[in-house]
Amino acid sequence: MKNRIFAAFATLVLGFGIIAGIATYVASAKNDPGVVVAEKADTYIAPDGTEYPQVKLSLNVYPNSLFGGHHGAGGGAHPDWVSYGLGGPNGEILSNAKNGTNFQVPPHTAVTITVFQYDSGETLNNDFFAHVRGTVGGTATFVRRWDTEQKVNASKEEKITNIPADMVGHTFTIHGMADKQNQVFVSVPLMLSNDEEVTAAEEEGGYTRFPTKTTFTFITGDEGEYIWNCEFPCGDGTIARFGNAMSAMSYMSGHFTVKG
Amino acid sequence: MPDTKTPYFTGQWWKRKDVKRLVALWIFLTALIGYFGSEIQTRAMGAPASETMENVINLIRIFTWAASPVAGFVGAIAIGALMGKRHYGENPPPEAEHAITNSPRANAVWMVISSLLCLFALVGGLIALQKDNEALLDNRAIQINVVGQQWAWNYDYPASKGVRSEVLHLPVNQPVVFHVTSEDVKHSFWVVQLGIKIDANPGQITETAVTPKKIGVFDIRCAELCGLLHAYMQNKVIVESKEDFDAWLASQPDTGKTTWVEESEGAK
Repeated sequence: MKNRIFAAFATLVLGFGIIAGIATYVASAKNDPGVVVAEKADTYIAPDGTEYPQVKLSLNVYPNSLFGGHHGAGGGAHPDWVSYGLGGPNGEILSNAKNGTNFQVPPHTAVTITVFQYDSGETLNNDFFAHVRGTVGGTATFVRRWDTEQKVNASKEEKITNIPADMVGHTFTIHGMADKQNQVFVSVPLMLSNDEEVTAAEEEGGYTRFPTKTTFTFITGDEGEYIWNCEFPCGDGTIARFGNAMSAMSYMSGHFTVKG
Repeated sequence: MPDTKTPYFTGQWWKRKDVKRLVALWIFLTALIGYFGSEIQTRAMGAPASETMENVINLIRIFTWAASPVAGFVGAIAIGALMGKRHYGENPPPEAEHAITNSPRANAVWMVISSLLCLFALVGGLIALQKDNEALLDNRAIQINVVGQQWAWNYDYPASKGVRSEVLHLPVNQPVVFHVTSEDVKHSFWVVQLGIKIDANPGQITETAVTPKKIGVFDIRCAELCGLLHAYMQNKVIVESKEDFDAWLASQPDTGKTTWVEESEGAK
């Protein structure tokens, strides 16, 4: 009888041990670094005259993970995967940034995001995502060539509502669960950078000097938990190209929390 | 050695204590499974907003109650076996000599009941589906193209000036036909409170139809595990009056075409 009790107890301990081991492995493997809290900026006045407190985020999109940042030196486990990362206000490459794909912004605030897009691109699966959606006025401010050395526009700045579906590098698309929270859908296409310049820079171990620059603003509602992801199929070599970097948090997707 | 000459079962079997206990447990489990099995899932989906969903909920209730005696019987036997006294010892227990052998009558009863249940489910389901097919042929129906992509839905209104939206707007009391497809992997377009769910397959178009009967905001979800952010592939359907729907449609920009031109092209 004692043996039976001991065997039952040992089975329970072993079962819990296996579950705890799997949970620990999954938690450590999810590669989901900490949270970037958006910087406070000036007051934002919307086109209808309403004033909002404003926060800003600057992000970069790279053709690989060699920039380091939240992936670590050398690009981490998948140095060849495309990745978003935290950037400087003029597109600076922040190799030491420990966070880069999870963001926190306050509720009822104007959130202005600037994305410097260092990657080339192709055609979207779905041209729905070639249009700017969910931003103030349904527009974004776009610069085809931003000079990262001179820190000035190298081409005209213009207001856009869409770009051609075959000239998309990536998208920044925020959405979330439909239950018990405000609906948020913000999607902005990020135009590709010059393919030859991107390739040449990559061969030299760097990034193009002239990324595209896209800036957009949207107004947050109540507190809520959302996610963002890229809707351009950039997980090369996988089904529908939505594997690899597209199916791992902290590369082309992350959390977007409205909290404050 | 057990005494195999003494009959293990004596008297009328239905008067045995363990049989009575089994029957009581069967009735209890049938009621438990029937009630919670039907109520939990129907309440979790919310109040119906279409006749289709009312039919779905009725079918779920009927099917669950029809199947609950079978599930209750299996559960009662399993619990009875687990709770019964165990035989310890080197020799087999007396009842081992009376193991149930092939019984044509029992098999026949089981087969007939199972077949009737399946036939009942098939006929009931086909009748409910037939109502959806009627809506597909309704010439008053508005047509909407639904596109699924990891991990978002979008809706095109082909009869409009080029309206495309990430939120589905529908007029109340008007049939609507959905033409559903996917741009990448398999998804499933599920409008929960309207009671329709259909696969979104890459390279193919599937069709379903419904007539919303209630004004309100309802849930749309992907019902096919489709990758990393499958849980977030959901949004809302807004069912509104015909006037509000028309006003919304008229207020939407034409996002069906690209208007951006490169600086050099624009200068030409």
